[in-house]
Amino acid sequence: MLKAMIRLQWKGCWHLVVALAVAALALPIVSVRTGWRSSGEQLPRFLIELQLWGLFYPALAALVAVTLAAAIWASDRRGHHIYALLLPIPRWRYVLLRYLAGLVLLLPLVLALWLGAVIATSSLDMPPGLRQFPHALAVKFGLALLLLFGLAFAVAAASRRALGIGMKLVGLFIAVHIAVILLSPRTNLIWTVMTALSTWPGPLAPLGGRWMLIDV
Amino acid sequence: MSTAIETRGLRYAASRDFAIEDLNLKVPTGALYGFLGPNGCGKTTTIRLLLGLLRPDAGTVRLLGHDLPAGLPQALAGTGVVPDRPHLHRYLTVRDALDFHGAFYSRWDDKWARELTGEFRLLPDQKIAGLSKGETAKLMLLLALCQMPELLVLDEPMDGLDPVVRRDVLTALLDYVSQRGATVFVSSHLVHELERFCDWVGVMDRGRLVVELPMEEFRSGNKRIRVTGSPAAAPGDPPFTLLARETGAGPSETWVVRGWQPEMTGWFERSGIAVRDVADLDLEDGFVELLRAFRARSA
Repeated sequence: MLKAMIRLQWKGCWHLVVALAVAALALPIVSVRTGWRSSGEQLPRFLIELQLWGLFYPALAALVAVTLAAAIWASDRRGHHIYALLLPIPRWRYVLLRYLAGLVLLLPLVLALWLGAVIATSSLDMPPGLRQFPHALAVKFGLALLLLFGLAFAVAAASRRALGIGMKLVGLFIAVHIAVILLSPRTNLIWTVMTALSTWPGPLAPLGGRWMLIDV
Repeated sequence: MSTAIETRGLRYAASRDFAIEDLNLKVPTGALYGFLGPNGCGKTTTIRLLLGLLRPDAGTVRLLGHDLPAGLPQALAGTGVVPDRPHLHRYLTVRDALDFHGAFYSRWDDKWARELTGEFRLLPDQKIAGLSKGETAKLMLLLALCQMPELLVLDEPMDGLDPVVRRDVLTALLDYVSQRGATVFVSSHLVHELERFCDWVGVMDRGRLVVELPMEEFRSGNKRIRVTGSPAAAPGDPPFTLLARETGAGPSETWVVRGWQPEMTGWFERSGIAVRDVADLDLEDGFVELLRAFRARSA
């Protein structure tokens, strides 16, 4: 069944996967080439350039997660999920199959980024004092993809009722945040929560930190 | 009598104005059951309840011996479904759709699926998005048949199909049923469509089951009787169901009845009513009169 599901999702999303894989392959190469050229081959400026380019990695991971999760569910959504619901398997199992097949589609994207990172670093005469992290960057990208895809998949798979509950909770949180600010202007609830989520051991930790292909 | 589908006290409020009310269906195993009713009477909603796509507000559904919703996957494993609208993945080819569908059914017959693809004149490499309405209907039936189901649930499968495609679909369906002895539950709003091959019929109107009986009984018991000298109110309890009384020219009246037997003329004689003529009502007229009487009673 998983094989059939992977095949189904590949048929439905291969254009998207190929386009995103090209972007993942190109990003490290373009960042190093452009950064090296525009920094005038000065190391401090080169590192700053790479740090700026580093913002594109989580952005690409988010783009991949959202577009792929949406594409995976698009066909079922168009058919009001009737075909899926008539298959002789429990609903949770169908969702799990969709999720696992989605993870398989993420693999070529991580590989493309890893390949791009290896090509980018091997094509540059590494100045003394700098180190390259193509494998670590690919792993970090993979973890970020895993996390963001999980979130986007859950949202895309959720029923209207579940989405409604989620939206109400977000609304309630914002209302509490405003109330807290009015009572104690120095307290920023959103910032506190975001920091807790995005720093270790928060669940969004893979998205934070430095996304450096080359660093000291 | 074992049943392939059984509902008890099924209720479902689809909207403020429409609800399925206290539905008690019994589809005998091996029957070709025609589920008749005018458009919007609740046939598709009932089918969705039977297949676990909707959760009833009250009542129970038993499908192939499995209670829903707990036994839904087991029940669906033995049920081939042709829904009212095709919900296939449009980017797949015919062959992809067969491969995907077959992966979920242990009894899937791939060899037969290939043969039937040829017989239905479907091109394996054609995208589903590019199929005509008739081709899509054939593909839906092909998918349902090749999983070798014990029960086929078909929601208006012939709707909008040309006579050639209709015949192809019907032939394939009847071939399968004659070979496998499967139960068929087929809905339609066209009486003559079901008349030819169904041996049981259930009539639905305004969310309620009006009648459920063998087709032979439904077909033979509907009569139009021309009488004279009938009183304003029918005397006593007639041994048949009086669906309608129409006043004719002069003293004559036309009675539309269900459950008629020739020996029932005695009841008219004892009531002082002269029977002038007894005529068979064709199935469509019988269906219309049945609905008319049901609506008059409901009002």
